[in-house]
Amino acid sequence: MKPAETIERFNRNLRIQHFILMISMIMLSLTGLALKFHDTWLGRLLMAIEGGFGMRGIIHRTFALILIGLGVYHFYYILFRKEGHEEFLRIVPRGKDVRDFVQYLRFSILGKGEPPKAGKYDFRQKFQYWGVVAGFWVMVITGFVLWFESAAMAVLPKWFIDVTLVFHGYEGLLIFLVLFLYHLYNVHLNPDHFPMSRVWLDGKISLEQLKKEHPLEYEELFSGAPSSEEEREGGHRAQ
Amino acid sequence: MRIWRPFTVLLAVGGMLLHIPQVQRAKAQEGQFSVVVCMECHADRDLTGVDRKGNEISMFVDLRVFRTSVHRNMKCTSCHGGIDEIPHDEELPLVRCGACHDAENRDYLEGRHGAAFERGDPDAPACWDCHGKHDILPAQHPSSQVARANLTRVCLRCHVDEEITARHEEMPAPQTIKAYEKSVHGKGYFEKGLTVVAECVDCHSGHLTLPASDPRSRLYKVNVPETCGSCHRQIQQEYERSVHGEALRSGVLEAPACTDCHGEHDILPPSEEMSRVSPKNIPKTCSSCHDDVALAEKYQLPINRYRTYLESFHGVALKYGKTVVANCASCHGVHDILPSSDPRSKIHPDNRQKTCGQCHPGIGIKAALGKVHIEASPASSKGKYFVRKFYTWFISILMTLFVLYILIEMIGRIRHRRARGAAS
Repeated sequence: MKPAETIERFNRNLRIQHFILMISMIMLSLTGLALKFHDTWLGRLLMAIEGGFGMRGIIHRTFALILIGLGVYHFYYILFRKEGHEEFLRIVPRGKDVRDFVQYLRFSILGKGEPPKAGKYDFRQKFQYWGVVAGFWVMVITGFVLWFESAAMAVLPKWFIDVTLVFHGYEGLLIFLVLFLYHLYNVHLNPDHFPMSRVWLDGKISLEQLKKEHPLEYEELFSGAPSSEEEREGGHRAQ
Repeated sequence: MRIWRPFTVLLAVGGMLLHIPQVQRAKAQEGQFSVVVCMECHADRDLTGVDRKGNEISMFVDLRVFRTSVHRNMKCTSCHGGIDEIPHDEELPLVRCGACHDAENRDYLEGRHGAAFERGDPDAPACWDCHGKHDILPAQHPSSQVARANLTRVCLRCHVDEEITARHEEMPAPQTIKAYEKSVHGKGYFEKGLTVVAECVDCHSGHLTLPASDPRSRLYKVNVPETCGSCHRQIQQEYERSVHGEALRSGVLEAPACTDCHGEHDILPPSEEMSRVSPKNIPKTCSSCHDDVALAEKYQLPINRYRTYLESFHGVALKYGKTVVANCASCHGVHDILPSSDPRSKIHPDNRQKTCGQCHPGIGIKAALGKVHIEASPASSKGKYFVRKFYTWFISILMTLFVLYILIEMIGRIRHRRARGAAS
């Protein structure tokens, strides 16, 4: 098999999922920050752009529903679709990721050894994915408590709702910062990809880049190495 | 005081004791000349004289108008004393309405208008400035200057005159008075033509116009609820039972009377956004006392209620124009505000579920008894405090690590490049 110039890293389904996630995250962040920073110029500006307090809430909850819809589909996708399931198995965190992280620090800080070799998803990307999953649950659960506050107050004490509001606000801010700083830097703004990686648009990654950033996946695809990370871990697990 | 002729004083005393017609009869005897005699000169439209201020004024008296006045059966000399012969002196003693209208006159002289008049202030209104002169009509007559439909306009003649107010520091600025025109009372008066709305005299009194600082004044703070209550009776009763009403009655002058929340001349209905008691402005109005550190200390009021309310969801929503959310009055009541310790209070633990339930139907007792608008300190609300602390630290540390990560990443890149450079 003759290696092509590029291969597809994300198929169309994943790209659409990513796009919906991106749009809903942007909208939820903007409408959420308007409320979180209500007493600053930023909050006032966002609130005005979003059409006032009431409209801000409607937009926020609309995109929350879109996000939840995406979450439900994603759940279905990784459980019941073969491609989704396979993709999911590649992003499950394993012991190797911890070792990779240590190896990465050793190499970067101390200059010892080699940089770790990643599969389709390196430890940073896995961390990002699982961060989003955790954030999703925190935000959806706390969000529903706040959305249906009368129902919540019928059964829950006031302090619980107060704490929920604080949780929702800070967790939202955290997710915003992680996505818009950490994620954007890692994927787009770092010197290798600046100003932008095109993977999220056409799903394609150049072989050169694949070899450099995901060497194990490259090997797996082109030199008949063990077909998945799971198998690599296999020996380790059997012990 | 001027020296009164003993005879006049006698008549005045008699006027109090006897019926008015008798007084009139007695008065009429003082002057010997009939109206016809006076009219020989004063029917002349061109007759002029000089008034006390030195201005030339017409001395013409329209007999037809006089004959429609309330004094139509009296003689000229009943009011205009000092006329012993015709033609009379050019300078006559001032007409003293108090000779008959003694009670009104005493009130007038005690009030600010009367005092100013006695001082010789040329701007001070005398009886006839408000009531009219030869055309004077009883107040019940619809055309009277002092009929309810007209009187407020009479007051405004001077009180919105910038020349007059400029000369008198003690007079309120015209804008203050003009605000009445836009107020709920003024609109009723000017736009709807109502005579049952509060007019100037209803609060300020007609003759006894005392400054608000005088404890006898209807405007004196302790008397304000009674003054407003003369129309708003039920609200006054409600207010008197409230913590504010009780405090004011017991002489706590910092306690709010009606005007402290509603304003004075510029009272607007709560439905108008600009009103001090509109849902949007209520928190600010209440905070003028409840956010005052000195007052809070003096009367042991809980502090920081305003700020913590503004930070709450209700406060934020209200700030951005959602007037449907709870403001101070929604939970604490309006005129019937009572401390939470009072079983009648809307925020007494027994009543909380009902109060919160106005907007949050089916609210549980646990939620209703929860703390509202308090500072999140470890003592008062552990959960909120620690979650906030946790996230503040967590986010700060994470962001620091992120910056560190970029640094490490950069170093790593350089090493990688070097390593590859060395290999090739």
